[in-house]
Amino acid sequence: MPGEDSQPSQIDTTEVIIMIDEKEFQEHVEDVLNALGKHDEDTRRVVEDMLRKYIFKLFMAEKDAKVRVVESLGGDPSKLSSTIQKKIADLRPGQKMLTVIGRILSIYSKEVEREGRVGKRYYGVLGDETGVIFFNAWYLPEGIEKGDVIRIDRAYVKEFAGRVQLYIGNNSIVTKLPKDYIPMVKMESKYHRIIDLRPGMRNVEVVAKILDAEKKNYIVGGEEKTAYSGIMADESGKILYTSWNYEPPVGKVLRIRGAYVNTFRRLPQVVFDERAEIEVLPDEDMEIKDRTVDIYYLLNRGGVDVKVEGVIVDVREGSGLVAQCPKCGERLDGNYCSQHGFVEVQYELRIKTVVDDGTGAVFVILNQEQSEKLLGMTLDECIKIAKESMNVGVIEKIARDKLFGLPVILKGNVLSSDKYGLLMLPKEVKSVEDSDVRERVMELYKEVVE
Amino acid sequence: MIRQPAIRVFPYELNRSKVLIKKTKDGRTYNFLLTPLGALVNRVFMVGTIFSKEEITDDLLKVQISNPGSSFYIKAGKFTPGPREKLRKYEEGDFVAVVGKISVFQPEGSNRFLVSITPEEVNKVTNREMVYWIYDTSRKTLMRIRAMRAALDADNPTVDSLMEMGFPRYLAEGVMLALEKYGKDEIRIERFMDIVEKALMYIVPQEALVEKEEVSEEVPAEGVSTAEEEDLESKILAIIQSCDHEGDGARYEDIVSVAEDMGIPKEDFNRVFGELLYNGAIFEVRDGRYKVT
Repeated sequence: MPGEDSQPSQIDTTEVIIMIDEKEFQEHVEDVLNALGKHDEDTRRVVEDMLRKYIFKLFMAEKDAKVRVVESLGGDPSKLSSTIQKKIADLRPGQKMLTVIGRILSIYSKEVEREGRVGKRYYGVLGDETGVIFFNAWYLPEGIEKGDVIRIDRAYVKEFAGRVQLYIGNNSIVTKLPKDYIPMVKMESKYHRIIDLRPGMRNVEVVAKILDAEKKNYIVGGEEKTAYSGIMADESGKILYTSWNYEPPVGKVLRIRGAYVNTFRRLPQVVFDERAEIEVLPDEDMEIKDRTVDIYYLLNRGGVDVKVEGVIVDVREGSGLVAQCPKCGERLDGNYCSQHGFVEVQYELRIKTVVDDGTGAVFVILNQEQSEKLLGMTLDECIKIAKESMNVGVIEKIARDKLFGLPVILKGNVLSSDKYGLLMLPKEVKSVEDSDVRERVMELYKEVVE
Repeated sequence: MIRQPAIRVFPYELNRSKVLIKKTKDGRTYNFLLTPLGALVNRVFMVGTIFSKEEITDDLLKVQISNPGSSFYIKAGKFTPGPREKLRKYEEGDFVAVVGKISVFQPEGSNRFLVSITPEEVNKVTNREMVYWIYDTSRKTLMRIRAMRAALDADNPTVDSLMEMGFPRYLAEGVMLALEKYGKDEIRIERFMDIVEKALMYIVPQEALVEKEEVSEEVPAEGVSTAEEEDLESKILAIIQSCDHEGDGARYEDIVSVAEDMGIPKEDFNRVFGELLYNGAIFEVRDGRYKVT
């Protein structure tokens, strides 16, 4: 909004469209109608109009808008559902008060002792037409078994041991629904390039080369299982994988049908077991190259060993020289350490920055060596400059002046979190070569003129 | 909400946007300008040459930045003191990079938006960043042109059908939305193709330039220029040609001083020079040097 301009900030436009997720909006309408106990067409129309006005004209939060509508129609706002219904593919760590409807694809139980009492804990896999998720329940009604469809109210999602899991706690309400409440999804596996695989997808087909494999043994549900994990790749990119009870041949290309995708340590991972259809393609080979990927493809997904190219559009506070205690490495404000008293401060060089390629942005933290390389200054030179100007913060300013606007190429893992977006601690960083740009310009120009 | 990407778009495309889209998320509203090629722009990254600076009030600095084919305004007010102070120090002819949010204003009775950029950060950069920006923006504009062309050529294009052709979802969605809001006839891809070609000519090595037959370009005049205005235009064009001694472009300072000698008021000169640059009648060969197209 041009609020700070001298011109009036009026945007009475020829065409202002408001983008809404109609499905989500209809769920809010349903919720209000349920709270009012009326479902006739007239009420629906009134509710829709009011909700639209509150949410999209007055920009009220959805929750507040619903309360306002129920109150003004003489209903009881406490009857509004406090949970949000989500499809499994949309579940992310940190979400709370969820309503999820899904089919139990597998279920195990285990006796556990908790606060001095012995109880049963259930875990397994829940699925709907959009995806699958591990669940972990402290409570389930009697007689729930594999294949049942359940509705869970007040569930929450957490990442634990590298897995995103749906938790059913003591406050959750679990209701058994008829088995045909959601369609039995028996889909054909759908082929995806690795770069298009997103956490939550299931029954996918990938054709990929196994780059490495590491063996580990686990006890799952009292049974010993072996997992092979590593990285696999196709021409579009790389991804983590875990194969249960099947040792994939390193260096070979496999076709895997019936795998699913989840998150492991904030990175995307393909998971498959002996039930998947696995085929080794002996004559196939793939050349795995570093291809630059648009950051757009990494949003809400992350990326394994990717190469991105973008421009530094922000140098964050806290970049430059960081003071540390030489004994414990604690960050210091001055030269006083809470444990070691006055100390001879040790400095480290850090750059925190945002790299944007026009399709998305990554928060990037550069280590000392990378910071030195990009700045073209050594740590000692930085310390000297800071001492001469009697100001440690001066390096942050120099970094901003030197780096803002600079095109760079980064390689490494990109981690994805719901709260903070994409984060990269690159393995490699360099600025884009002028000669490289010149060549690419020639190619592009030829393409355009022809 | 995920940080909005800084879209690479030539001001020419941005200035031709007629559709504003509001998206609400968790009770907050985000403004997006939908360009005719289907870019949804909330934040931009631009690089260009400082063309003029104007102190609107004590608090508000308006800077005109010129880059291939067009120009745009940065408005740095009291809520963006950092960028404002930096811009005050920079001089005309300096290359600057800016990241900021688009800000739109619609004059009464007009169906067009006046677009300016509210800067989040600015910095003085070199020729190198300028070249990369032109390359990067050309490439991304070309992507949009391709997606739009595919949609225009198809019988019943949908987001899915465009994605099957290999376009990423954001591009397919943007193009379909632009098609719906602007209509087939409003979207003239050739014009944007022209801009890309012209922009690349700034940075492509001379020996690679392709001799093209002179095609008459029908760039329709923006508003009717009066006889007086046309007179001024031809005067300034003549000055630029006469100041171009070595054939490598006329120095900006020379052009200004000759114009002054000829009694052209500074205000008129700035306006007309800006328009010529905007229309592509003149272009900047390199740092501070101009040539007639």
